[in-house]
Order: sequence, then C-alpha cells, then structure tokens
Amino acid sequence: MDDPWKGSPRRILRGHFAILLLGMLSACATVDYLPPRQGTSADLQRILSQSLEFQMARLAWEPQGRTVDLQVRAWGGFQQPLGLEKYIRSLFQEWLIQRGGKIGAGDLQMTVLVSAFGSGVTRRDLSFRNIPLYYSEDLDAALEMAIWVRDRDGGLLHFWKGQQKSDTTDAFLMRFLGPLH
Amino acid sequence: MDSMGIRMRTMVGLLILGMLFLPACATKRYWGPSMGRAADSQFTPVEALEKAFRSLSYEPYRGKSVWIDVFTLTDRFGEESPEERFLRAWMKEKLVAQGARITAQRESAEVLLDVKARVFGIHQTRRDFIPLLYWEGTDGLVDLRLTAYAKGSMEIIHTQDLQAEARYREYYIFYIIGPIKRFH
Repeated sequence: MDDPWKGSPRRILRGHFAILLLGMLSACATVDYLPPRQGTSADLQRILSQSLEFQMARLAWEPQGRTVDLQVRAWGGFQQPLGLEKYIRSLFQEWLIQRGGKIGAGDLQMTVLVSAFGSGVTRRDLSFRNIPLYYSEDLDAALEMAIWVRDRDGGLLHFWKGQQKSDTTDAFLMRFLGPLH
Repeated sequence: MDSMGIRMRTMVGLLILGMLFLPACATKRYWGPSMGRAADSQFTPVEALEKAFRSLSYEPYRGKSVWIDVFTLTDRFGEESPEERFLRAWMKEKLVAQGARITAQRESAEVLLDVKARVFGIHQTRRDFIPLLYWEGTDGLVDLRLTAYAKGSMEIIHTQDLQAEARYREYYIFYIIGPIKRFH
C-alpha cells in the first residue's frame, strides 16, 4: 500500500499554501480608535489640521501694516470648542504676522467663524460566506469657515467663505494585509 | 518510510500540538475610563516626542525668558486638554535644560513661544491571523509647529516644524505565547 503521507513536492507545497490560505481567511485587522479613552486619534488630528491649513492657504487678503483684532468662534470640538478656537486663533495669528499685520485692538476686526469642523468614520466589510475579503476604514473631515474683515466703523472690507472635505482610508485585504492607503 | 514521510509526520505531530493552543486566547484589554489611558498609548507618543525634539534648535531661547502656549486639536473636558498640559511641562523642562528661563507671567517674558500640535497622539491597529498570530500595534505620532514671537514687537523670531513617529508592536503566537515586544 502506498504511504498516504508520501507526495510530490508540488502537492506538499499546495497543501502548505491551502493551510496558509485557510489561516488568512479568518484573519482580522481592525483599526482601533476608541475616543476619548486613548486620546484623540492621531489620524483624526492630522486630517483636521491639514484641512485647516489648506483652507488658510487659499485666503486671499493681505493685512500689510494693519493692526487686527482677531476673533475666532467655533462650535465643534469635544464637549466644548475652547481648544479648537485657541488652535485656530494661533494659526491666524501666525498667518497675519507673517504677512506684515499686527495683532491687537486697532484698525480692523477680523472674525473667523467656523460653522462646521468635524469628522465621520465609515467602515466597509466585504465578505463572502463569512470569509472576510476586504475591510476599510474611511475617516473624513469637513470644514466650513467664513471670515469677515471690517474697519473701525463696521464697514465690510473683505469677506471669504471656504469649504473643505478631506478623507483618508485604511484598507485591508483578507483583514490582514495592509493597510493600503 | 522515506525522509519526506518522516518530515510530514513530524509536521502533522506539530500541527496537532498546535491545535492544543487553538482554544487559547490572549487579548489585550483596557477597561477605560477607570484604568485611565493605556501605558502603550502614553509611552509611544512620548518616545516620538523625544525623537522629534532631537532636531529642535534651542539657540533662539537660550538666556531668554520664555512663555509657552500649547494648542492642540485633542479632546478636553476643561480649558486645557491633558496633551496640552503635558506638552507645556515637557517643553518647559527641555528649554530650562538648554539655558532658557520660564516665566510665571506672560507679561514678563521676552519670547512668546506658540506650540501648535498638528498631531500628538496614537494610531492603533490590531491584527488576527487566526490561530497563528495576533498582534497589537500602537503608533505614536508627533507633528509640532513652533512659532516664537518677540514680546512687545510681536515679530516672528523663529519657526520650526518637528515631526517624528514611534512604533510599538506586541505579538502573540498561537494566541498564548507572548507578548513579544518590539519598538521601532
């Protein structure tokens, strides 16, 4: 009788591959983001900060030599918007000074109203008969910002409104291979 | 029986031995918020912070009195987030060690240092290669923008971007042997 364990190298290789594939089919990769338990996700912070700086780069107004009273109002953020307002104020302060402006009570008032600044997460699972094939986490950020620049008498000198949507995706094949960006 | 047969039998024997481990399970668990932030989630960003600060130029602050403000996009319950408090204290120690003086009052400072943390946090990924391998990955990421102003004139005297990443992995074989720890 033939030895059942005996086989050609190709058959053995195929057997090993089948075992490996079986293992992979039940594999699982998950992007763990559990706020606020482990702090705000680094991905979320990156996408939010990038969308803010991208919007500011499109702002076409030069404060050259003017003293600007800078006001920032937002209503996003976790629990309360104070941190978000301070962050945006710091960004605009640097932006104004780099362009020859000054910060303080003076010639102009600049109001930055952040009407939307937040994120959403979409998870997708493609599986066939409970075999996971493709899994992805899509993190998107939305920013809507309006800026008014007025003179001392309240006259409108400049108005600008911008919207920005950005997203980042982590995709995994067989829930193990990845992330593919 | 030839050597190939012996090898196959040995492999099957090992596989059966491996099967014994199959019902075993090792999974890291954090039961927040009572446990607080996990240790991995704390030391990986701090390691990244340490790496990022290696390239910081201290020259503009040496011998000067400095006031530090830190701004982040992190969650908070009060006025200041835990990340902001920590970053401010960290910056203070680093600057003092390099010859700067930290003032208790903003008004008495010569240099106002704004630290904007575009990113200061972690990114966690878990993978299960059932039943052979399970791993937890924690990536600590830091991306800071430092802007120093001369108090009074409010001119920008120095700007610098600091970026770094630290990767921490814990592997478990057969869901029971481990953790095998790796810091990248």
